[in-house]
Parts: sequence; C-alpha cells; structure tokens
Amino acid sequence: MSLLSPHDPLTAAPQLEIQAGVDVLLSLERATVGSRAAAYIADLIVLILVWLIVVLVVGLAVPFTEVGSTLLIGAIVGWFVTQWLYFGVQEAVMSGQTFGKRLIGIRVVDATGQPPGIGAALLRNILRTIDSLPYSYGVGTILVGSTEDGRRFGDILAGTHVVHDVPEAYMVPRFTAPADSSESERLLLEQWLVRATVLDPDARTRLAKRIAFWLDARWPGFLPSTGTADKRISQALQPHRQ
Amino acid sequence: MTPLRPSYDRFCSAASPRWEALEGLLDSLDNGEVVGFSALEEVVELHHVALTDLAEARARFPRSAATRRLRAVVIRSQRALRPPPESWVHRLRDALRGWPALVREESGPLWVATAVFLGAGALGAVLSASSDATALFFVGEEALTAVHDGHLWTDSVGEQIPAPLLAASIAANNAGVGLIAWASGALLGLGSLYVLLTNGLMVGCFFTLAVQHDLLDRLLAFISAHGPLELTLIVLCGAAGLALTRGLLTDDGRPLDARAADAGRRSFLIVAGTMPGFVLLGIVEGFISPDMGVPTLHKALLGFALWGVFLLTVLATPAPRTT
Repeated sequence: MSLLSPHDPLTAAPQLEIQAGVDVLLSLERATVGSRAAAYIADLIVLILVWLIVVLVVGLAVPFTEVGSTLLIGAIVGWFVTQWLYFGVQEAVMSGQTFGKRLIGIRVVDATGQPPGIGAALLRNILRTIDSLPYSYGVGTILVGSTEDGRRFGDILAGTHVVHDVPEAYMVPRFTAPADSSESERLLLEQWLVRATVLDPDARTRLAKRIAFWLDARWPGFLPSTGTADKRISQALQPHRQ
Repeated sequence: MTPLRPSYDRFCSAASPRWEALEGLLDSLDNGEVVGFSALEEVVELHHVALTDLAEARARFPRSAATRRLRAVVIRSQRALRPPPESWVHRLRDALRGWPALVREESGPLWVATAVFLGAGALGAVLSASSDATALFFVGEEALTAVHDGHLWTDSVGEQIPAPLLAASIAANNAGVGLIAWASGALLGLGSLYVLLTNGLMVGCFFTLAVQHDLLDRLLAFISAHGPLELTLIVLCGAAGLALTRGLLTDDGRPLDARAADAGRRSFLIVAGTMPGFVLLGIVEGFISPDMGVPTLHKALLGFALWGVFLLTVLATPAPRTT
C-alpha cells in the first residue's frame, strides 16, 4: 500500500452517511460485531449485578419462608421489564445509549444521525428475541457481521443504526517541514504525527522506518543521523500542538 | 525550513478559534450547564460556520487533522441542536387516536390470522377427539390426567395461587406471547403462524376434552370472562406479525430499508396497543375467572362486554384527521 494511498485505515470501517447541511454529508463509523457484543456483555453484567443486589437485600430482609405475593409480583414485573424494556427504555432516555453502549462508546441513531424515539428504541430491542435465535445472538451476529450496513433485524425494522460515538477530535499539529515539500508530502507527515500515538508499538516502529527511509532519500540530511527512526522523525519535525 | 503549508496553516489559524468556541459551548451543554438563549444562538451560528469550514477542509485538505477535528465537532453540534422530541403525552395521545384506524388498515393480515387460528382450533378439536395421544401432545400429561379424573386443571388455580400473583404472572405471560407473535413475523411470518397454530390447536383440544368428559360448563365458567378478548388480542398480535411480513415482502417501489422501517413501526404500534388489554385481562383472569362463586352468566356478560367495547373501539373510532 502506498503511503499516499487514499485508503484511510482509521476510517476504513463501514460508514453511515447523514446529511448535516446543504451538500455537507457527515460520516459516522458503524459499530462492529465486537463493540456491540462488548456493550451487550457490559449491560448484562450491570443487569446481573442489579438482580444480585436486589435478591441479596430482599433475602436478608425477608426470610425465605415469609416471601409473600407482593415480592413475587415484584419479581414477575422485574423479569418482564428486564426481558422486554431494559434496553429500550435506556436507549430512549439516554440519547440512544445503554450503560454498556456508553462504556464502549457506541450509540443508536436514526437515519438522520439523531437518537431514536421511544417507539424505535423499544421496537429494536423487543426484536432481540428474533436476533438472538437460535442462541447466542446467532441471527443478529450473522446480520451485523455479513451485511454492508451491519444491522440486525431490530435495527432494520426500527430504521436505526449503531455507530461509534463522536470521534476523537485530534488537535491540529504544527511542525517544521522541508521547505520544498509538496502539499501531499506535508499532509503525509501530519498524518504520521496525528496517528503515531494510536498505533501499536510494532506498527509504529515499522511505519517510522519506512517514513525515515523515504525522508532520507527525499531530503538527505533532514533527519538527524542517530537514534531510532521514530525519534529521528520527531526531532526533525519538532511538532507542537496549536 | 518553513511552517506547514501556508494555506492550510492560515486556514487553521483563522478558523480554529471558532471551533474552540463551539467546542467550549458544547462542553457546557454536555456538562448540563444552563446556557442562555444568546449562547444557544451562538451554537447555531458556529455550527453553520463549522459546517462551511468542514466542507472547505474536506475539499482542500481531505485527509488532514483539521478535517477530522471539524467532523467531530460538527457531529457533536448536530446532536446538540436536534429539535426537542415531541412530548410523550402528545405522542401517546396520537398513537391512541390512530390505533383503531391502523388495525382496520391491516384487515388483510387480520383475516388471515383469524382464519389460521380458527382452522387450527377446528383441527385441534377433531384431532384430539380421535385419539388421546394427540390430546396429550397438545395439552400435556398433567392436564390430561386431571380431565380423566373429572377435574379441570383450572379448578384449583384460584386456591393454589393468590389472585394478585396469578394476575401479574398471566398478564406478563400473555404480553410476552403477544410480543413474540409479532416479533417472529420477521421470520417470514413463520413464527407468527406458529403461535397462532399452537394456540388454536390447544384451544380446540381443550374444548373437545371438556365436552368428552362433561366439563364444558366448568371450562366456560373459567374462560368466559377473559377468553373472548384474550384470544382476540393474541390473534391481533399474530396478525401484526403477518402485517410485518407483508410489509417486508411486498415490493411497492420503495427500498427494502424504507419498507421494513415502515412495516416495523406500523405493526409495532398495533402490538403496543394490545398491551394495556393484556394487563386488564390479567386482572380479570387472576381475580374473577377462578372465582367459581361468580355465576358463569355474569362472567360471560363481562367477557362479551369487554370484547364488544374492543370491537366497537376498533370498528367505530374514526381515523384521525391529517393536516
């Protein structure tokens, strides 16, 4: 892959395009199976903890032999709410997020990028019954993982999408570039400065070596001669944030 | 050596104070701080400016950090400036007003669901009359043994379980069945048909067993208060599932996405409208149906009164006027 390839690894995930203004589209990165599953697991953990606390408190306060109708009715209502309303109500009142989604940084939005209404939120979550068939969200996982827009039945019928929350707003770095560098070359260096911090160490080292090799060939003497490729680039560009 | 790209640099230097101002205002909103009208006006103004900046940045510096930053801030301001949702009271009122007309509009799936349920009921009656094995399959061993012993499985329900608990569990169970009957319409209608068929077969089987063992009066004493409306609502939920299937499969020229969302919303509204009915019927079935002190005639009057009110509501309520 060319270093100047238009392929952008940070935004290569499927996108939801929404109209933000006349002729201005905003692209929201769709959530993947992994982040959605992580949010669901986080929600389940919260749910289990809440049930455990309730059962423990009730168990300590009321002897088992004296558990009356009221408590059992509470359990039935609680079970119903847990099964059918827990996710939907949260998404309706928390702008498209549950506790788990907030933790993972994903959100349910409608086709305009706005949080869903109460009806759509309830609808998409009641349809979990179908998406969870035959077990462990089989249908939903296949749909999210294999379709272009990554939506399960609940999303398709509610007209909703699950997207990553607001992307991190990188500050614009300022740095010293070679005087005769072209705009695309400068943009390449800016991208390196922006992304170097989020790359894993191996990838960062590999990419730094390639960029250093290119800089040495293009502007001999621009980089200091000693140190790791990463440090040589950093010393030459002298980045500072504005 | 010169600073990065004079034009890009100038663009960032000139515009970034506006982005920072917008980010600051959005932070205040996110933190729940009360902002005045003038601040909101400023957010609107800065949002539009940021949109313009984003368009320019995309065109001139498509892969730059400035474009990424603008994208983030515009997504935030777009969300912050969404129109306030209509109040729940108004939406609930509109949904209630429109519900009867919505049910009438889905009369096709409703007739199909009714035919499937009644057909399954007749089939269940015939099959269970022909052999005990069939009856065993539909109603289970415990219920069948009770019938053979001259009891109905409903006889002791009221004695074993307190009425409020019975009401809550029945309401939750029936509402769940209704939701599943609708949701499984997404599986090309197979799930909805399954719910309608199994319920029809069971009802038919119950009646046959009651007749065969001379227990019909006791069966009627139990079911007449809640049965007519409860079965109607189950059929209606199955019909909503079939309406969902029809919406998915009928090509009306719109993209599948739009058809699916429309069919999902309409059919879900129908099912949501049945939920208060299931709660009411849970109360009836928990408190009144098991009480054998209440004459069957009174229960039947109550059952058909509830059913009549439902039918009247669905058939006679005019569609809301649209402007």
